[in-house]
Amino acid sequence: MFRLSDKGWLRLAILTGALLVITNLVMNVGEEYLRERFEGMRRKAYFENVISRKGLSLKEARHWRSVEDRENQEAPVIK
Amino acid sequence: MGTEVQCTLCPTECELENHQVGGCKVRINRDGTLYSLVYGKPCAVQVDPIEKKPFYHVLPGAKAFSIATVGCVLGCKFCQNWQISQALPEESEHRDLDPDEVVRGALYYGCQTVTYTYTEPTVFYEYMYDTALLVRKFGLLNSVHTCGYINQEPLRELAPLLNAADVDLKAFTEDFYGRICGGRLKPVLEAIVTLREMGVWLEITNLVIPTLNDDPKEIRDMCRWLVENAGPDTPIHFSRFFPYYKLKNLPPTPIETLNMAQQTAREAGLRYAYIGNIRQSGENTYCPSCGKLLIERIGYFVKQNLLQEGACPYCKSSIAGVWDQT
Repeated sequence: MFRLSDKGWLRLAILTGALLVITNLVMNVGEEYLRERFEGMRRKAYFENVISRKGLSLKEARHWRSVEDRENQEAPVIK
Repeated sequence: MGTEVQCTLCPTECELENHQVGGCKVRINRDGTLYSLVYGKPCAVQVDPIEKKPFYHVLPGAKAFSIATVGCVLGCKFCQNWQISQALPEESEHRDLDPDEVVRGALYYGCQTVTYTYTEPTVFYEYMYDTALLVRKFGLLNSVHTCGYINQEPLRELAPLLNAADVDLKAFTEDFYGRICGGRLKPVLEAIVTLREMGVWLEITNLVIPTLNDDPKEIRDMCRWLVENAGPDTPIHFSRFFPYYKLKNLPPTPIETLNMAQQTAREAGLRYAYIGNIRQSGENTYCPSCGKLLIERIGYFVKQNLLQEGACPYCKSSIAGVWDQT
């Protein structure tokens, strides 16, 4: 039977708690980034495996703009 | 990153990341460039009577070469064509039909107009635009049945190519558009005004849905707005609702409600108020001056057309519309 002293139990509890806190922090920070990456990979795979194999057209569309361009245009001018 | 784009075709203005498809399901961002997936890929191609669109004041009895691709800018819960409007292009059957083949088909079948219809033509804007250019060159008319949910800039580019537009004004409240259609009313009203200003012949269709948009006051307000902003000669079609798609819990529109809407429109000052999706005399055109029958219709077919050079043969009043192809 695995036996620990009171001090040992305390250390284990602190370690577990710290591990949980760190895992939670990493997940919170990484979730957005990872989700975006996975979502992007999923979309790309869907495009390559499904959409592009269906023989649909890829005609350049009108009436669109780069979001970065728009943000640059809308940014306040600082003199 | 530099690959995010914003589609500015319809008022939804989707911001799309790489390989993301817009809410219309047919426009995709690929490496920072927006592409249409349905150019030259109609899912529906058919020769219809123009009355089916419905256009009652455009070349009565004419044949309309009608095309549509999948996709829609709205997601109306009552959509009567939801099998194609809400479908994905990669999961649907389509034909390969370039703009020149559309014109060739229209000429071959003796059609006087090419109509962009069934789903929402805004989603295949590039295909419609290129086809409309060719259609004009060959002396045919361009007509469109649209929900009017399109931004002003693309609409103003397209409008000079259009001869006639039937706009689905689905209701007259922002609440209805937001809750039932997933859109907004204001851009639709702006599109109606723009089409009118730019000389496109305009007809309005209003699908009357029990309990959702059949309030007499709302219908009266809508008709008054149309009289002021589109003119009293704008025909309005009150269409009968049938329970489809996500609104199967409601009954078909009672005939009394459609009669009430027609009467309300006339009292508000609209000279040509019709009832559609139901067989009765509400489909006929009567002279607003002398009240005589001018065009008798049975369903989508014209039984008799008594108009003489766009005027009433009895009192000689001019009847607004597009009565010849020139």
